[in-house]
Amino acid sequence: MTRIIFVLSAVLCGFSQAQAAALFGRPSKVIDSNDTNSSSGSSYYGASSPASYSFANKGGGYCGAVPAHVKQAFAEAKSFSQSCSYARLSAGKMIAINDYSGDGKPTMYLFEQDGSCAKAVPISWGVGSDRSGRLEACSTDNSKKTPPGFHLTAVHNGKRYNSSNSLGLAGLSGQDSLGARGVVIHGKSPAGASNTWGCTGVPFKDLATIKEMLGVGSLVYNYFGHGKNPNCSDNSGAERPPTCDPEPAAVAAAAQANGVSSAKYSGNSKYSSGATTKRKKSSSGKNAEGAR
Amino acid sequence: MKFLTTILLSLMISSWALAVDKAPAKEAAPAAPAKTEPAKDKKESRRPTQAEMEALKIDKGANIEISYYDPESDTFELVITTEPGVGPNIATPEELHRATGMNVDFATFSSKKKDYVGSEFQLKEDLVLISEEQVDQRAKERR
Repeated sequence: MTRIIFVLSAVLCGFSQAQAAALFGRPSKVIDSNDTNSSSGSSYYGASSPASYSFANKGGGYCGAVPAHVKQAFAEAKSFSQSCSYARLSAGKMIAINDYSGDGKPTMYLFEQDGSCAKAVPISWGVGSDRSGRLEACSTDNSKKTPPGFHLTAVHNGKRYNSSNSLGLAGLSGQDSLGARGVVIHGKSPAGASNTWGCTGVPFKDLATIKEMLGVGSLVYNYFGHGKNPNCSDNSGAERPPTCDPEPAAVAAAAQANGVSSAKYSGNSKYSSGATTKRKKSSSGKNAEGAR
Repeated sequence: MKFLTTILLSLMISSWALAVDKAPAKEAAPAAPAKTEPAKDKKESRRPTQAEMEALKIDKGANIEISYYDPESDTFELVITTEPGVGPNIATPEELHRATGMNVDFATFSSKKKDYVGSEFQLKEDLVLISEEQVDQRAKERR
């Protein structure tokens, strides 16, 4: 109370908010991130510019200072949502950036479409990637790694995780993350460690809120930085520029949530009609439809 | 000068704020719990339980493969064959034996646990998993 009065008085007397906070202290952030200095850093892979978005923190969002590379990732996601019809977002849908770039602690940032940050939480990742610098992006069926690239949130009813305790991550760029692997967002303790087999683990206390905020049909970008892994024969969604090659679950989610209709997989997807169709793979292991 | 004005203003406002803080508190208190409890119950009933959230169970009918046996904790690591990205899934030998409905008795199964790595089963019953903390605890207890 006393601190608030002091800060209020200082502001009344003409100090700026920053000066007032420096003089009398301010509440600590909920997310303890070492990224705060990088928010003003330069983009190291300039593609599209994030300058047109506000990135303002919404009240109670606990986003802290959004790092520059996350802002850039958001701009990429926004651009992808405009170029890939399956990633087109209807009103109220959000964009989540899962920052696995190794630049700071792995964190999920939830953004409104206008770029305002609504929430940030620490996240877990697949045990297949050691936590030494940038996480390895290469991710295949049994790799136990988190699949990189763009995903659409989708309904998942698996044998362990289902719609009450998880949110599916359906690949939009050639990754068969949900259909072939069952990769989802689910609760994990502790969050912020390498302790899943590819899923994104969030704190249990935040799971319900995140599920509610994202719902079905929001865009999730598992962002691993921009380096391409030389040892990866199938980089599953890490291509630059990203392809628009959704898996059946993503097509179904796009149709259900965002009204995107398509002839692709229509009538053949287990997510839309009950019939199961396995996607054809080329002899090299790449998705035939995705190899462009 | 600015700083002194700030201090003076603070003292004036704080004496007023303290008075406001102390005055009306008494009457509001008793009514609050009666109002909030039903709302809380209602909210909780819509949310999944902690056990559901933790999802320490694989539904019956799932196809699983035993991928590893850990002698330190005496536990098995399992892969849901249709969902290899879901895990870790760890179960005790007793629970695995029960849920798979193995056609050998537990003593026989127990005598050659490592041999079962690579085996596939379809679950006859829901399989209860244990958390990584419980695995650590089991390993500690067995040392």
